[in-house]
Amino acid sequence: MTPEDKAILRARDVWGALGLMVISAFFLWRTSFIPLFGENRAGVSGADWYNSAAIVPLGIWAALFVLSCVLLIIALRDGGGKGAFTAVGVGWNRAEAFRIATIAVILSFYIFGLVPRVDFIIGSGLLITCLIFGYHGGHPYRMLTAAAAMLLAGSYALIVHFPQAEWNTPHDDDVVTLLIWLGLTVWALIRGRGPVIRAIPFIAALVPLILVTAMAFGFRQNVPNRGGLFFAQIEYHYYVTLRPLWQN
Amino acid sequence: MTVMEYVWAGVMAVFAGPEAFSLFGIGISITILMVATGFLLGIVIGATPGLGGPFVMAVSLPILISFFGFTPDALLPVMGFLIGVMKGATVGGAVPAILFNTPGTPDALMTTLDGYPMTKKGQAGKALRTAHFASASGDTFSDLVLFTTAPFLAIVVEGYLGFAEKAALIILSLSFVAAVVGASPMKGLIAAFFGILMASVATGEDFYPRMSLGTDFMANGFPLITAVLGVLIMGEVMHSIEEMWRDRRTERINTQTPASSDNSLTMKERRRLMPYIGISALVGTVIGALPGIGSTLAATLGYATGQKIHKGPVPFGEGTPEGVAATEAANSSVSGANLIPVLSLGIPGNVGAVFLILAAESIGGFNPGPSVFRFTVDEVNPELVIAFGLFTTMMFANILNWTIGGQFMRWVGVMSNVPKAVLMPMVLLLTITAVYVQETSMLSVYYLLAFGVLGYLMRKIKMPILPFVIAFILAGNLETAMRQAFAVSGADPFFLFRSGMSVTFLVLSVVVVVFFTRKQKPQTAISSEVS
Repeated sequence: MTPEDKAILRARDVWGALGLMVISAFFLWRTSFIPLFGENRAGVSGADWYNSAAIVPLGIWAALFVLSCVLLIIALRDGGGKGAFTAVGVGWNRAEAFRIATIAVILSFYIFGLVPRVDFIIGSGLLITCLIFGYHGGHPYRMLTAAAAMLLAGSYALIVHFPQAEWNTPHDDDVVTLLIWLGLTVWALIRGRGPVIRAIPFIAALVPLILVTAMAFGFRQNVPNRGGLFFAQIEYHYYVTLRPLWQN
Repeated sequence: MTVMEYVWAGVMAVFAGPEAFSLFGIGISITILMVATGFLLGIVIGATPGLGGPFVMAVSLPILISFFGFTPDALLPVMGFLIGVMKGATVGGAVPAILFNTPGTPDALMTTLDGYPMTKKGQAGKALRTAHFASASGDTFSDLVLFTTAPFLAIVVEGYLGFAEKAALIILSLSFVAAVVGASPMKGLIAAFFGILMASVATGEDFYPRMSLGTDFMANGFPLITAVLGVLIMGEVMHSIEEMWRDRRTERINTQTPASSDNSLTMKERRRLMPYIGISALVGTVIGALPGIGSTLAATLGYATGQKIHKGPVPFGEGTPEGVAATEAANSSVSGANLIPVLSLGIPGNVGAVFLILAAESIGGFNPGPSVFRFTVDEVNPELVIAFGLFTTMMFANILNWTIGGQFMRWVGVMSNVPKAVLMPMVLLLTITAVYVQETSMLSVYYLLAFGVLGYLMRKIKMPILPFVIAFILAGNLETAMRQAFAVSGADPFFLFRSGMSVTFLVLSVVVVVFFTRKQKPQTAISSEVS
C-alpha cells in the first residue's frame, strides 16, 4: 500500500466511522422502544431485564458505537482529517465511481430483472458477455456499452412483466434479451481483439447451458425460470425425445 | 466401544460406505470418489491464479448438500470433498508461482522467490517436484498432529470448561481473529460485531421479534450459507471485476517459460531438504492451530527460518530448492492444523474450516466441538465415528497427494493461462445458481446480492471479511453459552468473572487486541481471504 493509498484509506475511515456512529446511535434509539426493565409496552411484557429482546441489540449497537468512536480517533490521529474533505476522501473518484456504477447496473438488472423472468441460459449468456467484454482490459466505453445492454434487457423484463404471474410466460422478454445478447456479441467481435474476446460467444453460450442442464438433469435440482424459451424446449426434448432412448 | 473400534468404524464408514461403482470387482465408495474428485479439482483450482480452494468449496457446498440431502449419510461425502479441495488447492498453488512467477494462492507468494528463478535456470521440473515433496510432507505431518492433539484438547475442554468458560473462550477466539486478520484490529472488531449483528436478526429465545425492523422478508433471519457466500464470494467477484482494469497478469503469463532440463529430485537431495521441511512444518502447524492467522504468514515465517539455517551454495532468493521446500512445507502444514480448533472447540480459524463447519451445520448430525470426542463405551457415539471418518478421508487425500498429486500438478500448468476476466463471471454465475439450488427462492438470490455488496464495501475500506464470517457462525453458540452460564449462575450479572479461567480468557482477549493495535502489521496481512 502506497502512502497515497493509506492517506485515502484513512480519509475514508473518517467517513466510515462517522457513518457507523450515526447508524449505531439511530439503532440504539430504536432499541430503546423495546421493553428492557420489565415494562409493559405495546402489549409486550418484558419480565426480567436479562430476558428482554433489547439486551442483544443494545449490546451490539453500543459496542459498534464505541468501536466507531475509537476508529475515528485512530483515523484522525493518522491524518485522516486532512484528506477527508477532498473528492477522493469523500469517496468520489470519477473513474472508480463509473466502474462501480456500471457493475451495479449490470448485477442489479440481471438479478432483479432477468433471473426471475428471462430464460436462465439467455440471461446468463448476456451477463457473461457484458462482464467479459466490459471489464477485460478496462475500457470505459466497453463498460458503458455492456451496462447499457443489460439495462435495456433488464428494464424491459422488469417493466413489461413486473407481476410474479408473468415471470414464466410469455416469452417476449426472452426474445428481446436474446437479440440484445446477439447484438452485443457481434459488437464485441467487431470492436475487440484477442483470444479472450473471440472466446466470449463460446463461453457465454456453453457455461450457462452446461450449468443449467447439469443442475436440472444431472443433480436433479431446481433451476431459475424453468419455463424459459430455451430451457422449456431442452426439458421437453430431454423427457420426450432423449430419455426414452436409453430407457427403452 | 473401545478406542480402536471407533477408529475402525470411521475407516469402514469411508471405505465400505455406499458404493459409487465397482473397479475390478472392488467397490469404490461414494466418499472415496468425492475425496479424489475434490483433490484433483483442488489442484486445478489452486493452479488457476485468481481462484482458490474457498471458491470451489463455496460454490459446491450448496449443490452437494442439495444433491446428497440433509441426512448424516451425506456428511462424509460432502466433507470429504471439501477436505480434498482444501488439500489439492494448497498443492496446486505452487504451480503458477514456479512456472510463471504468479502465485495461484496468496500463500504461494513466497514460493515465487526461489521457484521462478529455478524455472529461469531450466529447473522447473525440479522446483515442482521439490514443492510437491515439501507440500505433501508438511501436510501429512500436520494431519498427524491433528489426529493426536484434537481429541485430547477436546477432552480437556469438555472436562474442565463450564458454560461461562466456553463463552469466554469464544470471545477470546473472536478477538484473536479480529485482531490478527487484516490491517486494523478495530476494523476487525467492527467486522466481528457486524457478523454477530447479522446472525442475531430474527434468532434468539425472545418473544419480541428481534431486529427484523418489522419486515416480513427479515422475519426468518438471514440464511447462513447465502450470507457467507455473499460476503466471501460475491464480494470478492465484484471487487475483482472492478479491479480488473489494473490487472496486467495476462501479459506476464504470456511470457515464454524456459524449457526445463533438470526435472529430477534424487533421494540425496530429498534428504538434504528434510531439515527445512521439518522446521517449516513445525512452524506451519503451530500457526495453523491458532485461529485466523493463516498460511501466508506461515509461509513467510517458514521461509525466514529456512533462510537463517541455510548454508548451501545458492542463496535464498536466487533459485534454491531449499527456499521452495521451506515455503511449501510451511503453508501446507497449516491446512491440517487449522482443523484442531474446529474439531476440538468448534471454532473455525480460516475460510476452509468455515465451509467444513457450514457443511456440518447445514446437514446436521455432527456438531464440531468438544462433545464429538466422547468415547462412550455402552452406546455408539455416531459423531465420533464421523470424526474418525474425517481423519480417514484426510489420510486418503494424503495418499493421493503422495501417489498422483505430483504428476497431476505438473499437468495443470496450462490453467495459469486462463484470464481472470473469464473466470470471475463464471464464478458469479455458479454462486447464484448454487444459492438458488439450495434455497429455491429468489429472496435468497437477493440476499446474496445484498451480502455481496456488503462484502465489496468491506473490501473497499480494507475491513477484513473473516472475522465477520466467523462471528456470524459462532454468534448462536456464543449467545447460547452465555444464556446457559447466566442461568446456571442464578442470574448473577457478573457471571463471566466468577471463574479464574474465564477471567483469564477475557483478559487475554483485551491483551490481544491492545497488542495488535500497537503493533505495525506487514503488508502480507492485507490480502484476499479467498483467492
